Amino acid sequence: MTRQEEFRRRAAAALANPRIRDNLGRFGIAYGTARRNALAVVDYEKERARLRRMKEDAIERLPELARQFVEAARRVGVIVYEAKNAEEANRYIGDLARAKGVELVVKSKSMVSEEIGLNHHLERLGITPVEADLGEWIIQQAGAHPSHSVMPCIHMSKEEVAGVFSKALGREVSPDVSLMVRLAREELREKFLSAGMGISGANIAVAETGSVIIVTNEGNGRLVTSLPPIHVALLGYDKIVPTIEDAAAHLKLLAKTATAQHLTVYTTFITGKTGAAAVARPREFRGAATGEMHIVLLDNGRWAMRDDAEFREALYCVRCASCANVCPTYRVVGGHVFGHIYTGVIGAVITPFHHGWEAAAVPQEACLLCRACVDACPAEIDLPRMIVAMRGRIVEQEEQQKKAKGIRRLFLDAILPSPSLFHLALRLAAVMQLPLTRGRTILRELPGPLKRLTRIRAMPAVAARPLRSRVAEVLPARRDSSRSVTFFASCLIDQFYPEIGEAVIKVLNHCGVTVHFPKAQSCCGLPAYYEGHKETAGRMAKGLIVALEPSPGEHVVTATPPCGITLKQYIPKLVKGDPRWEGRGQALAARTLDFSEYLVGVLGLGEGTFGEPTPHKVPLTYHDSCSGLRGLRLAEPQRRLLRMLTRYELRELDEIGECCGFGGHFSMDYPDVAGEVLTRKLAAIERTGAQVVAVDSPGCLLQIRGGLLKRHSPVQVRHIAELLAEALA
Amino acid sequence: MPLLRHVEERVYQTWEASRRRQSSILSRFVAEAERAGGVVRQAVDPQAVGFSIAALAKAQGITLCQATDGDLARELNLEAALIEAGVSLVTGPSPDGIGHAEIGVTRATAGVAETGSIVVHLDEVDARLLTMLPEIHVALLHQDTVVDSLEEGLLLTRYLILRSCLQGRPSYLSWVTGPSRTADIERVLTIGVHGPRQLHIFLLPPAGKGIGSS
Ligand code: SF4
Ligand code: SF4
Repeated sequence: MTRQEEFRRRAAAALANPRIRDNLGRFGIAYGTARRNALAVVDYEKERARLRRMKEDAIERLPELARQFVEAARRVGVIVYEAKNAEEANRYIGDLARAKGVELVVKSKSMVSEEIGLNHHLERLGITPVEADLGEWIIQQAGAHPSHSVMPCIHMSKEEVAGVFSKALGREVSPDVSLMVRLAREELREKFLSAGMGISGANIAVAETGSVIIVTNEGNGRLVTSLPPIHVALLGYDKIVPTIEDAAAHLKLLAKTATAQHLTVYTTFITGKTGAAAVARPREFRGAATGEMHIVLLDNGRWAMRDDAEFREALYCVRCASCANVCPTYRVVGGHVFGHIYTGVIGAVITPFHHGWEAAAVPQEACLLCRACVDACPAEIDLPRMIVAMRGRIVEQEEQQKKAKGIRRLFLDAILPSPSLFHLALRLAAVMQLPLTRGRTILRELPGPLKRLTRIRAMPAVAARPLRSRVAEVLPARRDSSRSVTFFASCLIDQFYPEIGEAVIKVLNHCGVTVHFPKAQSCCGLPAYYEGHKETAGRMAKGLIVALEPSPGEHVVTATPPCGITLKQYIPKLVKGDPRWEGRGQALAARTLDFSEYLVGVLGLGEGTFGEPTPHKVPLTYHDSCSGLRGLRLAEPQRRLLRMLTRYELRELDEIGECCGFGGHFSMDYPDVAGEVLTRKLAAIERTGAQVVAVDSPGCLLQIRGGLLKRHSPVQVRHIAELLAEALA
Repeated sequence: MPLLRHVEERVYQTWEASRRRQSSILSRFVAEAERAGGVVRQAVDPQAVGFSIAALAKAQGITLCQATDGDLARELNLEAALIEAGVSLVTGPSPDGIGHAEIGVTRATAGVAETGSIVVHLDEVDARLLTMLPEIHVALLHQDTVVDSLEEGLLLTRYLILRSCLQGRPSYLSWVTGPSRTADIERVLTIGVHGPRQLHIFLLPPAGKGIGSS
């Protein structure tokens, strides 16, 4: 099975359980509001830049800080063990428990212990581990895995939880949340008092004093580390920071982003073992009455991550789960599909280092690269960048193992990068589709193997005549002006939506701009880049530089933001380090502007009106493309242009910035997941009461228009350029 | 110990600066601590606090209260007040109380206004358990030990821990921000999981000793 097929299989299983997306969907909405309120009291951008700097510095100085941490901890009597891998850490903790005659272990939440499979190991030795965090306890009793790093059983209903309680306690428990919480308190209190060992994780470790900092809301962390006579703290090297004061930005943002609190209820600084509790000096425990603290410092791939320039920033993670909470696809499939043992996108990104590339290949498929997580991450981690880097390495490995699927490779590595083959293929498609389209421009159902493409939305037909055949190489301005641009159309506009291209040209010409349309242009290579075919993407980057360079336009203008990102950001990266191309790539990037940005920023449009005054206005909403909003950081120019249109009245969506689920190949490969994301978008559109949806990207247009058509909705979807051109008519 | 002295100097400066803005810091502290679910009361006369605790116990049908030490109980006139209310008192970390007492009475070392937290620095484990096991935790906090920002709170925390650490002494310090809570089941906020269900903070008059002095 290819990784795509395996992902489809897993996603289908998750989609069959509506509880997951209902819970996560509702949570996603509540989370957004609560988080915004919690963050309102701080300067978010300033604080997260501070957190970022602190983590960068700490990871840079890690060898020195780790030494300092170990020395300081030993000074207060802690026994420190440095474990290279899961096996060593498990063996150390298991042997210690056995040597001390421990039969029962209580644990506060530790994701590292999940990472190494500690519970299994202890059980094999005949030692009983009990999770003390309520959510983790429920998961443990259910014999399941957490699906979310902050709320482990978010995928379960209270009825399901009551079932778990009934089974664990051996009596009928009704699905009453406060009752269940009280029962858990009683049940676990008993365990705290009789356990011989407490195992905790750590949110932060402090080099200067050898302290571990643990945050919990329930208070289990303090009991686990105070009551049992032995405390083992299990943590990765990545948690170490220089001093307690350096924890400021971390603590300030963690609770606000994770649970929308100003601070977690208990923030505990543990520096050595401060004696054993008299009340809990247990019968079976043979150890010292003063107690012991052990710290197990785990590598398990962390040093390799630090040495890997592409993945180092994954070590800056503070495990707030924001990246999962805002992720459109996580909210559909949940953490059992999007994640391995660590959940969500950060889980997918670190999995290769902890659990191998084999385990990582499938979960990462869940990312459709909308970049919502980048803005939500308090450590400014560029997760989608790492997803693309992962894909690159996975593709390389598949090449070596000859696992790549023929057609996909043929398309991405041979047809797409060759302008003549690519355009030939599209012309063939334009002819072959005739029996299906019978002249229409919309395909509601495709047959056979293509059926998947129209499962959630209608598809546009390939244009009978692409833009390149419809317009000349030079399209002069309506009036005399020295302004000129080079139009980069993008495949979608050229081959599927030439009318958008014509609208762009019309508006530019009307504004006194001469448009050059070099016919040598072809695909920018984005599909290859996003799917990890770096070598192909690199070749295509150079092809595009050569095609656009000689064209005399002052600026290169696109009306397709994802391709705009390719020209502005990815192409310079792809040719970086190649002295013959680096400068040319940068020059192209510097010349490129999005259509709206050009109109507003360069031509100074945005004031006044476009079109005839009308007595009654049509309600219109604007859908931000992920690439425009977060990739190019453009939100205002589009809105300014829309407000100029006399015919329309702009009504904002209540969930600005949510992805529509297009994601290029994603919605082709995984229509069911993309379809759920789309459904949410359409519901938000409906709530505005708009009759027209304006977009700045033809990809979003394809997705949203197709979804509305499939549902027989009368709502229209138009590119901003079309609306402007229409106002000129 | 130049490092410790340097940190201590900064703590002292913070305390001096905080004293000049005390009333605004205090009102911020009260607002934030209550927002986190704590109950804050001004106690002009410490001797009256005992009666407040007794009233609390009586109202909730509580029969056993425990305080970390006899000095604290005397300062609050706790014993007399509780006798009057028919509530038993245990002082010191005696096993008679721990695990049974429904009210634990302890001091707090400092407060942090920005987050509404109290800093509980109790290295003696059995005393510390009084902030964890009972249903109700009552904390006594001197007004002039409240600092404004999270950063200042961490500076103080660093100082307290560093002081012990440099002498090879273990330590255990918690910031407590409201009562224990969970939202693990269907995200329904529920108060009182493993820790206290209620947190009562009594603000005592200034001690005038500076923060973190022991
Ligand atoms: S880029 Fe979008 S789809 Fe990918 S992980 Fe981030 S939020 Fe999810
Ligand atoms: S990657 Fe960022 S957003 Fe995701 S859990 Fe880590 S810190 Fe939070």
